[in-house]
Amino acid sequence: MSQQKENWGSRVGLVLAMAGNAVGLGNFLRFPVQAVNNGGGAFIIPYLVSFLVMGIPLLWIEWSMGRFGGKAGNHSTPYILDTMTRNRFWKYFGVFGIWTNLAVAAYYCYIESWTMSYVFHSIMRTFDGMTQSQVAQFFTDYVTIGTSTTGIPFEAPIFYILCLLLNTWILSKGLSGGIERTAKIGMPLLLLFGLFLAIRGITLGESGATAEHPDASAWAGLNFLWNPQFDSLTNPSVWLAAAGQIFFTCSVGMGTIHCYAAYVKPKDDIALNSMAAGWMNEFVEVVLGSCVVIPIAAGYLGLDWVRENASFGMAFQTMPFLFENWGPFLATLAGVFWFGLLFFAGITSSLAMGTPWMGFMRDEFNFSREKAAWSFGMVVLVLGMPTVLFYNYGVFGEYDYWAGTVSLVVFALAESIIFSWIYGIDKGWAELKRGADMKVPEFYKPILKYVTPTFLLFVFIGSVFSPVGGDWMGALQSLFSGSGWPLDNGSLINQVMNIGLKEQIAAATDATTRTNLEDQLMFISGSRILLVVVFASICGLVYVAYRRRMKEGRV
Amino acid sequence: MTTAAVITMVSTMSIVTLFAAYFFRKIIIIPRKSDLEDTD
Repeated sequence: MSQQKENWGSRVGLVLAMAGNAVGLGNFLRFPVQAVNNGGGAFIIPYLVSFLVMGIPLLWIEWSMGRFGGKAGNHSTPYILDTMTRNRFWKYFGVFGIWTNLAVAAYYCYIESWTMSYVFHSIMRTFDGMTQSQVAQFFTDYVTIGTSTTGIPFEAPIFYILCLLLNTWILSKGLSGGIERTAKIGMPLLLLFGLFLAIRGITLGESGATAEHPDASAWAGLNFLWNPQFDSLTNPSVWLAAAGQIFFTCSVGMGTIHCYAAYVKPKDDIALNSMAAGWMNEFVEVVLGSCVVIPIAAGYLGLDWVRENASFGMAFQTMPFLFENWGPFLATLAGVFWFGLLFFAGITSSLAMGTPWMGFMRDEFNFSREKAAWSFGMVVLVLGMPTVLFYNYGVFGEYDYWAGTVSLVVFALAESIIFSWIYGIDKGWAELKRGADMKVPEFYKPILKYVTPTFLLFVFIGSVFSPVGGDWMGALQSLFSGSGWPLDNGSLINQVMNIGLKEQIAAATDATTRTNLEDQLMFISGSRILLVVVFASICGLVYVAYRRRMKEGRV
Repeated sequence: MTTAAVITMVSTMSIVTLFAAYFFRKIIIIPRKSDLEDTD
């Protein structure tokens, strides 16, 4: 077991690091798009309900499990689950808490490297005078390896490696000297940059209207985002989307919160700390996240454009063009602020993804901090290069689906059952309240035991059997009329079978498209094999660690 | 913007900001137990 026990330097540092872990690119890019697509202002109701009955309970569960594990010297989920359950199986299930982070870090660092590169391009005024389609093409060229946008060959892999080196170097400086210091610098800057852009977004009004886009209005964008469409509240798909957003935004089901909390001293509070970090994340998402992309895009391109094009890609394919409307100085400043904000949101999350692997290797194999950090960097490099080199073949999306979506729900469902039903809600509740600096509402005890696992079960079932177009009522009618359940190609079952891609291959009329899609299928299958190999390898390490513990009499 | 949109936006943002500020203020003013022990 690691002899050098690390701790957080200060309470504010811990909360900022935890909030930084939760605040990510999704706060600014995913939340507004989800809200627009799921009932506008009415989306906030299932969203906040999901936060109260699923987000907060999962935060409390993960903080409690983490601090509990840390007391016994366990800083990653395999042996945290092992200690809580006393069952051989669960430590292998805990591998999800390491694997998810490695796989997500692999592609997440790639997005982070885009933000680094775009800060550089904003300073160099690369986007000066470009049309919207040229800015979008710039991004396409960037992710097409071999096409250089600066004259630097292999620009995307170079920025990726630089980004990974920076992450690894910060991780090697430790919890207090690296992660906490980065959060203390990054989070205030993120809030500052976000406030600047949000104020610009809500004060833009109709000043961006042009002859080409006469109806452009930031107010229309905000109205579209916040006007409540109450009929959407009866649609199960809206609730699933809201619950899914809470997952992403709280960074639950990953294993990072367990690891950070494992370094909290046994008598210190976790209940209030988790609330402070959780609500800070909500502030960034709901207040800042909703006031940037949608109103600025609607303010220059009009609401119809936003309706048709609202997506994650807007951050890189559209925003630099919109900033050009603000004149040379403000455009540069806004570009640096926007991509700087996304960079800080990204790096505070990717650093968190490094800690479970480091904690595991230090606990079980006596790795030094530096060795653990560099080994993380190497594993992520090997796992991440396919997402960089074969981005256009769907490898990136495949990692995101399995590690960044499915695995989170599976792990969160399991941990909520372990905490409330296997470890026991009474012991779990006592663990949460130990050293608490706030009164934890008693009504949350039955919520933790019954509501949260049930809610998670619905989310899981919803992702497995998602019907075509999210039309659950239509799917039920189809089932009862004997026509079967019409599965959507986004459902887990159809994803496993690659039904959507196979349909595209069957429908392809020209040979080039067909070959391209078949290549995509091959790369997707290859990336799945790689992910499974990594999971199995970590299981192997857990087994070796178990044997070492047996020898040392620690089991 | 419609009145309903303004009400939804302002009320939601106010609630979220108040909760965030309330909890963050508490962690600033309440010291960690381990810090108090170190001082003792």
